[in-house]
Amino acid sequence: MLFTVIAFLSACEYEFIELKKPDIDPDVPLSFKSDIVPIFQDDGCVACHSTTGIAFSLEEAQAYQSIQNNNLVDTANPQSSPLYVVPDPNSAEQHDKYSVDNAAKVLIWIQQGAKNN
Amino acid sequence: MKKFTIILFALLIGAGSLLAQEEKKKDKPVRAPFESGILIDNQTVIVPTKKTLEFVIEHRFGEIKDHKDLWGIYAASNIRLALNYSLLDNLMIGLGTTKDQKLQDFRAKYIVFEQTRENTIPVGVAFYGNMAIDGREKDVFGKDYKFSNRFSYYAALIISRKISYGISVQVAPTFSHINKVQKEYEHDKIGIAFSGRARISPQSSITLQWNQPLEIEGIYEHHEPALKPKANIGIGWEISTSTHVFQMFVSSGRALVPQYNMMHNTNDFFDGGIMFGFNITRLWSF
Ligand code: HEC
Repeated sequence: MLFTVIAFLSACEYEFIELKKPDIDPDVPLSFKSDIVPIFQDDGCVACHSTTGIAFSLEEAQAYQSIQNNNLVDTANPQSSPLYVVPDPNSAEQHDKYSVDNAAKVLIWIQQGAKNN
Repeated sequence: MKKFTIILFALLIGAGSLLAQEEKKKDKPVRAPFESGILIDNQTVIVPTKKTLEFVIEHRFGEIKDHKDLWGIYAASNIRLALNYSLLDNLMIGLGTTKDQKLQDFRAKYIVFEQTRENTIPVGVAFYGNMAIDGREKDVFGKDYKFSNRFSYYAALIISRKISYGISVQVAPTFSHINKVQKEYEHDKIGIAFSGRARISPQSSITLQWNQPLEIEGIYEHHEPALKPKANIGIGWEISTSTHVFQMFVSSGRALVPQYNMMHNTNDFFDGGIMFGFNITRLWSF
Protein backbone atom coordinates (compact mmCIF):
# COMPACT_ATOMS: atom_id res chain seq x y z
CA MET A 1 0.00 0.00 0.00
CA LEU A 2 2.66 2.45 1.12
CA PHE A 3 4.71 1.44 -1.87
CA THR A 4 1.93 2.19 -4.33
CA VAL A 5 1.36 5.58 -2.76
CA ILE A 6 5.00 6.48 -3.16
CA ALA A 7 5.20 5.10 -6.68
CA PHE A 8 2.11 7.10 -7.52
CA LEU A 9 3.38 10.39 -6.14
CA SER A 10 6.86 10.13 -7.55
CA ALA A 11 5.34 9.88 -11.04
CA CYS A 12 4.37 13.55 -10.74
CA GLU A 13 5.93 15.90 -13.26
CA TYR A 14 6.04 19.68 -13.19
CA GLU A 15 5.79 21.10 -16.70
CA PHE A 16 4.20 24.15 -18.25
CA ILE A 17 2.33 24.41 -21.53
CA GLU A 18 4.06 26.56 -24.09
CA LEU A 19 1.84 26.77 -27.11
CA LYS A 20 3.24 26.01 -30.53
CA LYS A 21 2.76 28.65 -33.18
CA PRO A 22 0.24 27.15 -35.60
CA ASP A 23 1.49 27.15 -39.21
CA ILE A 24 -0.91 29.80 -40.35
CA ASP A 25 0.51 32.88 -41.98
CA PRO A 26 -1.28 35.91 -40.48
CA ASP A 27 -0.54 37.89 -43.64
CA VAL A 28 -2.42 35.59 -46.01
CA PRO A 29 -6.05 36.74 -46.04
CA LEU A 30 -8.48 34.14 -44.73
CA SER A 31 -11.89 33.81 -46.34
CA PHE A 32 -14.95 33.69 -44.15
CA LYS A 33 -16.81 31.39 -46.54
CA SER A 34 -14.08 28.90 -47.29
CA ASP A 35 -11.94 29.03 -44.12
CA ILE A 36 -14.19 29.96 -41.21
CA VAL A 37 -17.65 28.58 -42.00
CA PRO A 38 -16.29 25.02 -42.42
CA ILE A 39 -14.87 25.27 -38.88
CA PHE A 40 -18.38 25.70 -37.49
CA GLN A 41 -19.23 22.42 -39.24
CA ASP A 42 -16.02 20.51 -38.41
CA ASP A 43 -15.90 21.46 -34.75
CA GLY A 44 -19.56 20.62 -34.23
CA CYS A 45 -20.83 24.13 -33.48
CA VAL A 46 -23.88 23.78 -35.74
CA ALA A 47 -25.13 20.86 -33.66
CA CYS A 48 -26.28 23.47 -31.15
CA HIS A 49 -26.01 26.80 -32.97
CA SER A 50 -28.48 26.13 -35.79
CA THR A 51 -31.72 27.75 -36.92
CA THR A 52 -33.62 25.37 -34.67
CA GLY A 53 -30.98 25.37 -31.90
CA ILE A 54 -29.52 27.57 -29.20
CA ALA A 55 -29.02 31.35 -29.14
CA PHE A 56 -27.87 31.96 -32.75
CA SER A 57 -27.22 29.98 -35.94
CA LEU A 58 -23.71 29.36 -37.27
CA GLU A 59 -25.02 27.58 -40.37
CA GLU A 60 -23.57 28.89 -43.60
CA ALA A 61 -26.59 31.01 -44.53
CA GLN A 62 -26.85 32.84 -41.19
CA ALA A 63 -23.34 32.67 -39.72
CA TYR A 64 -22.10 36.13 -40.64
CA GLN A 65 -25.35 37.84 -39.72
CA SER A 66 -25.43 36.02 -36.34
CA ILE A 67 -21.88 37.05 -35.56
CA GLN A 68 -22.75 40.69 -36.28
CA ASN A 69 -26.11 40.73 -34.50
CA ASN A 70 -24.71 39.15 -31.33
CA ASN A 71 -21.49 41.21 -31.26
CA LEU A 72 -19.38 38.06 -31.27
CA VAL A 73 -16.35 39.79 -32.77
CA ASP A 74 -14.47 42.80 -31.49
CA THR A 75 -12.10 43.91 -34.25
CA ALA A 76 -10.59 46.59 -32.00
CA ASN A 77 -9.63 43.92 -29.48
CA PRO A 78 -9.64 40.56 -31.32
CA GLN A 79 -8.31 38.54 -28.36
CA SER A 80 -11.46 39.27 -26.38
CA SER A 81 -14.02 38.48 -29.09
CA PRO A 82 -16.58 36.00 -27.73
CA LEU A 83 -16.31 34.04 -31.00
CA TYR A 84 -12.65 33.43 -30.13
CA VAL A 85 -12.66 33.33 -26.32
CA VAL A 86 -15.66 31.10 -25.58
CA PRO A 87 -14.65 28.13 -27.78
CA ASP A 88 -10.86 28.63 -27.33
CA PRO A 89 -9.40 25.29 -26.18
CA ASN A 90 -7.25 27.10 -23.63
CA SER A 91 -9.90 29.30 -22.08
CA ALA A 92 -11.57 28.37 -18.82
CA GLU A 93 -15.02 28.66 -20.43
CA GLN A 94 -17.20 25.59 -20.01
CA HIS A 95 -18.20 25.28 -23.60
CA ASP A 96 -17.47 23.09 -26.62
CA LYS A 97 -14.08 23.93 -28.11
CA TYR A 98 -12.38 24.59 -31.44
CA SER A 99 -9.32 22.55 -32.32
CA VAL A 100 -6.10 24.49 -31.63
CA ASP A 101 -5.50 25.28 -35.31
CA ASN A 102 -9.05 26.39 -35.87
CA ALA A 103 -8.95 28.70 -32.86
CA ALA A 104 -5.85 30.32 -34.36
CA LYS A 105 -7.61 30.71 -37.73
CA VAL A 106 -10.64 32.38 -36.16
CA LEU A 107 -8.39 34.81 -34.28
CA ILE A 108 -6.45 35.71 -37.41
CA TRP A 109 -9.65 36.20 -39.38
CA ILE A 110 -10.87 38.63 -36.68
CA GLN A 111 -7.50 40.42 -36.66
CA GLN A 112 -7.82 40.81 -40.42
CA GLY A 113 -11.06 42.71 -39.86
CA ALA A 114 -13.67 39.92 -39.64
CA LYS A 115 -14.71 40.46 -43.24
CA ASN A 116 -17.54 38.64 -44.98
CA ASN A 117 -15.32 37.45 -47.83
CA MET B 1 6.84 19.83 -1.94
CA LYS B 2 6.77 16.36 -3.42
CA LYS B 3 8.79 14.86 -0.58
CA PHE B 4 6.60 16.60 1.93
CA THR B 5 3.43 15.06 0.54
CA ILE B 6 4.96 11.61 0.32
CA ILE B 7 5.90 11.80 3.98
CA LEU B 8 2.48 13.13 4.91
CA PHE B 9 0.71 10.23 3.26
CA ALA B 10 3.15 7.68 4.59
CA LEU B 11 2.53 8.92 8.15
CA LEU B 12 -1.23 8.95 7.76
CA ILE B 13 -1.35 5.45 6.35
CA GLY B 14 1.16 4.16 8.88
CA ALA B 15 -0.96 5.55 11.71
CA GLY B 16 -4.02 3.99 10.13
CA SER B 17 -2.60 0.49 10.04
CA LEU B 18 -1.39 0.71 13.66
CA LEU B 19 -4.87 1.60 14.82
CA ALA B 20 -6.32 -1.20 12.74
CA GLN B 21 -4.26 -3.77 14.59
CA GLU B 22 -5.89 -2.79 17.87
CA GLU B 23 -9.25 -3.81 16.51
CA LYS B 24 -11.11 -6.38 18.61
CA LYS B 25 -12.83 -9.02 16.54
CA LYS B 26 -16.14 -9.08 18.45
CA ASP B 27 -17.13 -5.50 17.74
CA LYS B 28 -18.81 -5.47 14.30
CA PRO B 29 -18.57 -2.61 11.79
CA VAL B 30 -21.43 -0.08 11.76
CA ARG B 31 -24.09 -0.67 9.14
CA ALA B 32 -23.98 1.54 6.02
CA PRO B 33 -22.51 4.86 7.14
CA PHE B 34 -23.27 5.95 3.57
CA GLU B 35 -25.51 4.44 0.90
CA SER B 36 -22.95 4.24 -1.85
CA GLY B 37 -19.30 4.72 -2.71
CA ILE B 38 -20.04 8.14 -4.15
CA LEU B 39 -21.70 11.19 -2.65
CA ILE B 40 -22.17 14.03 -5.19
CA ASP B 41 -18.50 14.48 -6.23
CA ASN B 42 -16.80 12.77 -3.31
CA GLN B 43 -15.86 9.19 -2.62
CA THR B 44 -17.22 7.78 0.62
CA VAL B 45 -15.71 5.11 2.88
CA ILE B 46 -17.99 2.54 1.24
CA VAL B 47 -16.68 -0.27 -0.97
CA PRO B 48 -19.33 -2.73 -2.25
CA THR B 49 -18.80 -6.32 -1.09
CA LYS B 50 -16.30 -8.59 -2.80
CA LYS B 51 -17.05 -9.56 -6.42
CA THR B 52 -19.55 -6.75 -6.96
CA LEU B 53 -19.56 -4.87 -10.22
CA GLU B 54 -20.79 -1.30 -10.05
CA PHE B 55 -21.88 0.81 -13.02
CA VAL B 56 -21.84 4.56 -12.44
CA ILE B 57 -23.31 7.39 -14.51
CA GLU B 58 -22.41 10.92 -13.42
CA HIS B 59 -23.96 13.84 -15.24
CA ARG B 60 -23.60 17.62 -14.82
CA PHE B 61 -25.74 20.01 -16.82
CA GLY B 62 -24.69 23.52 -17.83
CA GLU B 63 -24.69 26.47 -15.47
CA ILE B 64 -28.08 27.60 -14.20
CA LYS B 65 -28.58 31.03 -15.79
CA ASP B 66 -32.04 31.56 -17.21
CA HIS B 67 -35.03 29.84 -18.77
CA LYS B 68 -33.75 30.18 -22.38
CA ASP B 69 -31.75 26.99 -22.06
CA LEU B 70 -34.09 25.57 -19.37
CA TRP B 71 -31.69 26.54 -16.58
CA GLY B 72 -28.74 24.78 -18.11
CA ILE B 73 -30.51 21.55 -19.03
CA TYR B 74 -30.06 22.28 -22.78
CA ALA B 75 -26.57 23.70 -22.36
CA ALA B 76 -23.32 21.86 -22.94
CA SER B 77 -23.04 19.19 -20.25
CA ASN B 78 -20.42 16.89 -18.83
CA ILE B 79 -20.84 13.16 -18.33
CA ARG B 80 -18.80 10.27 -16.95
CA LEU B 81 -19.47 6.55 -17.42
CA ALA B 82 -17.60 4.15 -15.18
CA LEU B 83 -17.24 0.61 -13.95
CA ASN B 84 -15.92 -0.35 -10.52
CA TYR B 85 -15.16 -3.83 -9.31
CA SER B 86 -14.58 -4.98 -5.74
CA LEU B 87 -11.64 -7.37 -5.66
CA LEU B 88 -11.97 -7.76 -1.90
CA ASP B 89 -14.46 -6.61 0.69
CA ASN B 90 -12.18 -3.66 1.33
CA LEU B 91 -10.59 -3.04 -2.07
CA MET B 92 -12.21 -1.66 -5.19
CA ILE B 93 -10.69 -0.77 -8.54
CA GLY B 94 -12.37 1.12 -11.34
CA LEU B 95 -12.11 2.89 -14.64
CA GLY B 96 -14.13 5.60 -16.26
CA THR B 97 -14.42 7.91 -19.20
CA THR B 98 -15.48 11.57 -19.13
CA LYS B 99 -16.65 13.92 -21.88
CA ASP B 100 -14.79 17.11 -20.85
CA GLN B 101 -11.15 16.83 -21.91
CA LYS B 102 -11.85 13.18 -22.90
CA LEU B 103 -10.45 12.08 -19.56
CA GLN B 104 -9.80 8.38 -19.06
CA ASP B 105 -9.36 7.54 -15.40
CA PHE B 106 -8.25 4.62 -13.24
CA ARG B 107 -8.94 4.48 -9.54
CA ALA B 108 -8.61 2.37 -6.44
CA LYS B 109 -10.19 2.60 -3.01
CA TYR B 110 -9.01 0.72 0.00
CA ILE B 111 -10.78 0.55 3.37
CA VAL B 112 -8.09 0.77 6.01
CA PHE B 113 -10.57 0.06 8.82
CA GLU B 114 -14.24 0.52 9.58
CA GLN B 115 -16.03 2.27 12.43
CA THR B 116 -17.47 -0.31 14.84
CA ARG B 117 -20.83 -0.45 16.59
CA GLU B 118 -19.43 -0.43 20.13
CA ASN B 119 -17.07 2.41 19.30
CA THR B 120 -13.92 0.29 19.73
CA ILE B 121 -12.96 2.11 16.57
CA PRO B 122 -14.74 5.47 16.52
CA VAL B 123 -14.16 6.33 12.84
CA GLY B 124 -13.90 4.62 9.47
CA VAL B 125 -10.87 5.30 7.30
CA ALA B 126 -10.36 4.67 3.59
CA PHE B 127 -7.75 5.65 1.07
CA TYR B 128 -8.73 6.67 -2.44
CA GLY B 129 -6.45 7.41 -5.36
CA ASN B 130 -6.89 7.97 -9.05
CA MET B 131 -4.90 8.70 -12.14
CA ALA B 132 -6.40 10.29 -15.23
CA ILE B 133 -5.24 10.65 -18.82
CA ASP B 134 -6.29 13.75 -20.73
CA GLY B 135 -7.39 12.50 -24.15
CA ARG B 136 -7.52 15.75 -26.12
CA GLU B 137 -5.58 16.30 -29.33
CA LYS B 138 -1.89 16.61 -28.55
CA ASP B 139 -1.60 20.19 -29.80
CA VAL B 140 -3.26 21.51 -26.63
CA PHE B 141 -0.18 20.42 -24.66
CA GLY B 142 2.02 22.75 -26.67
CA LYS B 143 5.72 22.36 -27.29
CA ASP B 144 7.77 19.30 -26.24
CA TYR B 145 4.78 17.03 -26.07
CA LYS B 146 5.16 13.65 -24.41
CA PHE B 147 2.50 11.20 -23.34
CA SER B 148 2.96 11.82 -19.60
CA ASN B 149 1.89 15.46 -20.13
CA ARG B 150 -1.62 14.02 -20.08
CA PHE B 151 -1.46 12.56 -16.57
CA SER B 152 -3.05 13.91 -13.42
CA TYR B 153 -3.52 12.44 -9.96
CA TYR B 154 -5.70 12.70 -6.88
CA ALA B 155 -5.37 11.08 -3.48
CA ALA B 156 -7.66 11.33 -0.47
CA LEU B 157 -7.55 9.91 3.01
CA ILE B 158 -11.20 9.67 3.96
CA ILE B 159 -12.20 9.70 7.62
CA SER B 160 -15.86 9.08 8.37
CA ARG B 161 -18.04 9.06 11.41
CA LYS B 162 -21.58 7.72 11.57
CA ILE B 163 -22.97 9.93 14.32
CA SER B 164 -26.44 8.43 14.57
CA TYR B 165 -28.80 6.24 12.57
CA GLY B 166 -29.50 9.09 10.20
CA ILE B 167 -26.43 11.28 10.21
CA SER B 168 -22.99 10.50 8.85
CA VAL B 169 -20.13 12.88 8.11
CA GLN B 170 -16.79 12.60 6.40
CA VAL B 171 -13.70 14.68 6.10
CA ALA B 172 -10.84 13.98 3.73
CA PRO B 173 -7.51 15.72 3.29
CA THR B 174 -6.80 15.53 -0.44
CA PHE B 175 -3.86 16.01 -2.73
CA SER B 176 -4.23 16.88 -6.41
CA HIS B 177 -1.57 17.08 -9.08
CA ILE B 178 -1.63 17.83 -12.82
CA ASN B 179 1.55 17.11 -14.76
CA LYS B 180 1.39 19.91 -17.30
CA VAL B 181 -0.51 23.12 -16.77
CA GLN B 182 -0.77 26.55 -18.30
CA LYS B 183 1.85 29.10 -17.36
CA GLU B 184 1.21 30.72 -13.99
CA TYR B 185 -1.01 27.84 -12.88
CA GLU B 186 -0.06 25.51 -10.04
CA HIS B 187 0.76 21.80 -10.35
CA ASP B 188 -0.19 20.76 -6.80
CA LYS B 189 -3.11 21.52 -4.56
CA ILE B 190 -3.95 20.37 -1.09
CA GLY B 191 -7.62 20.48 -0.20
CA ILE B 192 -10.19 19.35 2.31
CA ALA B 193 -13.27 17.47 1.16
CA PHE B 194 -16.20 17.44 3.55
CA SER B 195 -19.33 15.36 2.97
CA GLY B 196 -22.41 14.64 5.00
CA ARG B 197 -25.81 13.10 4.77
CA ALA B 198 -28.92 13.27 6.89
CA ARG B 199 -31.55 10.62 6.41
CA ILE B 200 -35.10 11.94 5.99
CA SER B 201 -36.81 8.58 5.37
CA PRO B 202 -35.62 4.96 5.30
CA GLN B 203 -34.60 5.32 1.67
CA SER B 204 -33.77 8.96 1.18
CA SER B 205 -31.32 11.49 2.55
CA ILE B 206 -30.30 15.10 2.19
CA THR B 207 -26.69 15.22 1.02
CA LEU B 208 -24.07 17.92 1.31
CA GLN B 209 -20.49 18.45 0.19
CA TRP B 210 -17.95 21.21 0.63
CA ASN B 211 -14.65 20.65 -1.15
CA GLN B 212 -12.27 23.43 -0.32
CA PRO B 213 -8.96 23.89 -2.13
CA LEU B 214 -6.49 25.40 0.34
CA GLU B 215 -4.33 28.39 -0.53
CA ILE B 216 -1.07 27.53 1.20
CA GLU B 217 1.51 30.16 0.31
CA GLY B 218 4.39 27.98 1.47
CA ILE B 219 3.84 25.51 -1.34
CA TYR B 220 3.08 27.97 -4.15
CA GLU B 221 5.34 27.66 -7.16
CA HIS B 222 4.37 31.13 -8.29
CA HIS B 223 4.39 34.27 -6.29
CA GLU B 224 0.72 34.69 -7.04
CA PRO B 225 -1.01 31.87 -8.95
CA ALA B 226 -3.11 33.02 -11.91
CA LEU B 227 -6.00 30.88 -10.79
CA LYS B 228 -7.24 30.39 -7.26
CA PRO B 229 -9.82 27.64 -7.59
CA LYS B 230 -13.23 27.99 -5.96
CA ALA B 231 -14.77 25.53 -3.54
CA ASN B 232 -16.94 22.82 -5.03
CA ILE B 233 -20.06 22.97 -2.92
CA GLY B 234 -23.11 20.80 -3.45
CA ILE B 235 -26.43 20.08 -1.84
CA GLY B 236 -28.88 17.42 -2.90
CA TRP B 237 -31.15 14.51 -2.38
CA GLU B 238 -30.30 10.81 -2.45
CA ILE B 239 -32.65 7.86 -2.95
CA SER B 240 -31.32 4.37 -2.49
CA THR B 241 -32.38 0.76 -2.85
CA SER B 242 -30.22 -2.30 -2.33
CA THR B 243 -28.79 -2.25 -5.85
CA HIS B 244 -29.38 1.33 -7.00
CA VAL B 245 -28.55 4.76 -5.79
CA PHE B 246 -29.90 7.90 -7.37
CA GLN B 247 -28.54 11.31 -6.35
CA MET B 248 -29.81 14.69 -7.57
CA PHE B 249 -28.18 17.93 -6.56
CA VAL B 250 -27.00 21.41 -7.40
CA SER B 251 -23.27 21.88 -7.19
CA SER B 252 -20.55 24.22 -8.39
CA GLY B 253 -17.92 21.81 -9.75
CA ARG B 254 -18.33 20.71 -13.32
CA ALA B 255 -15.41 18.29 -13.58
CA LEU B 256 -16.08 14.62 -12.91
CA VAL B 257 -12.51 13.68 -12.07
CA PRO B 258 -11.88 15.37 -8.72
CA GLN B 259 -8.41 16.86 -9.30
CA TYR B 260 -9.81 19.15 -11.99
CA ASN B 261 -12.37 20.59 -9.55
CA MET B 262 -9.80 21.06 -6.81
CA MET B 263 -7.37 22.75 -9.21
CA HIS B 264 -9.41 24.55 -11.86
CA ASN B 265 -12.94 25.17 -10.62
CA THR B 266 -13.97 28.76 -11.40
CA ASN B 267 -17.64 28.53 -10.38
CA ASP B 268 -18.58 30.37 -7.24
CA PHE B 269 -21.49 28.59 -5.53
CA PHE B 270 -22.64 31.81 -3.86
CA ASP B 271 -22.42 33.87 -7.03
CA GLY B 272 -24.55 31.92 -9.47
CA GLY B 273 -21.93 29.35 -10.44
CA ILE B 274 -24.17 26.35 -9.92
CA MET B 275 -25.58 23.56 -12.07
CA PHE B 276 -27.95 20.63 -11.79
CA GLY B 277 -26.43 17.19 -11.69
CA PHE B 278 -27.23 13.59 -10.98
CA ASN B 279 -25.46 10.31 -10.27
CA ILE B 280 -26.86 6.83 -10.80
CA THR B 281 -25.21 3.64 -9.63
CA ARG B 282 -26.22 0.05 -10.26
CA LEU B 283 -24.69 -2.96 -8.52
CA TRP B 284 -24.40 -6.56 -9.71
CA SER B 285 -23.04 -9.28 -7.46
CA PHE B 286 -21.33 -12.38 -8.76
C1 HEC C 1 -23.64 21.46 -26.87
C2 HEC C 1 -24.15 22.66 -27.47
C3 HEC C 1 -23.16 23.68 -28.01
C4 HEC C 1 -22.16 23.48 -28.92
C5 HEC C 1 -21.74 22.19 -29.62
C6 HEC C 1 -21.55 24.77 -29.15
N1 HEC C 1 -22.18 25.72 -28.38
FE1 HEC C 1 -21.73 27.68 -28.32
N2 HEC C 1 -23.05 27.94 -26.82
C7 HEC C 1 -23.92 27.00 -26.36
C8 HEC C 1 -24.71 27.57 -25.30
C9 HEC C 1 -25.80 26.84 -24.49
C10 HEC C 1 -24.30 28.90 -25.17
C11 HEC C 1 -24.83 29.95 -24.21
C12 HEC C 1 -25.94 30.67 -24.94
C13 HEC C 1 -26.48 31.82 -24.17
O1 HEC C 1 -26.34 31.86 -22.95
O2 HEC C 1 -27.00 32.71 -24.83
C14 HEC C 1 -23.25 29.11 -26.14
C15 HEC C 1 -22.59 30.31 -26.32
C16 HEC C 1 -21.68 30.54 -27.33
C17 HEC C 1 -21.01 31.79 -27.54
C18 HEC C 1 -21.11 33.02 -26.67
C19 HEC C 1 -22.24 33.89 -27.09
C20 HEC C 1 -22.20 35.22 -26.34
O3 HEC C 1 -23.15 35.97 -26.55
O4 HEC C 1 -21.26 35.47 -25.61
C21 HEC C 1 -20.24 31.65 -28.65
C22 HEC C 1 -19.33 32.68 -29.30
C23 HEC C 1 -20.42 30.30 -29.11
N3 HEC C 1 -21.30 29.66 -28.27
C24 HEC C 1 -19.79 29.76 -30.21
C25 HEC C 1 -19.70 28.41 -30.46
C26 HEC C 1 -18.79 27.82 -31.43
C27 HEC C 1 -17.86 28.61 -32.32
C28 HEC C 1 -18.96 26.49 -31.35
C29 HEC C 1 -18.17 25.39 -32.06
C30 HEC C 1 -16.81 25.24 -31.64
C31 HEC C 1 -20.02 26.22 -30.36
N4 HEC C 1 -20.43 27.43 -29.84
C32 HEC C 1 -20.50 24.98 -30.02
C33 HEC C 1 -24.01 25.69 -26.77
C34 HEC C 1 -23.15 25.08 -27.67
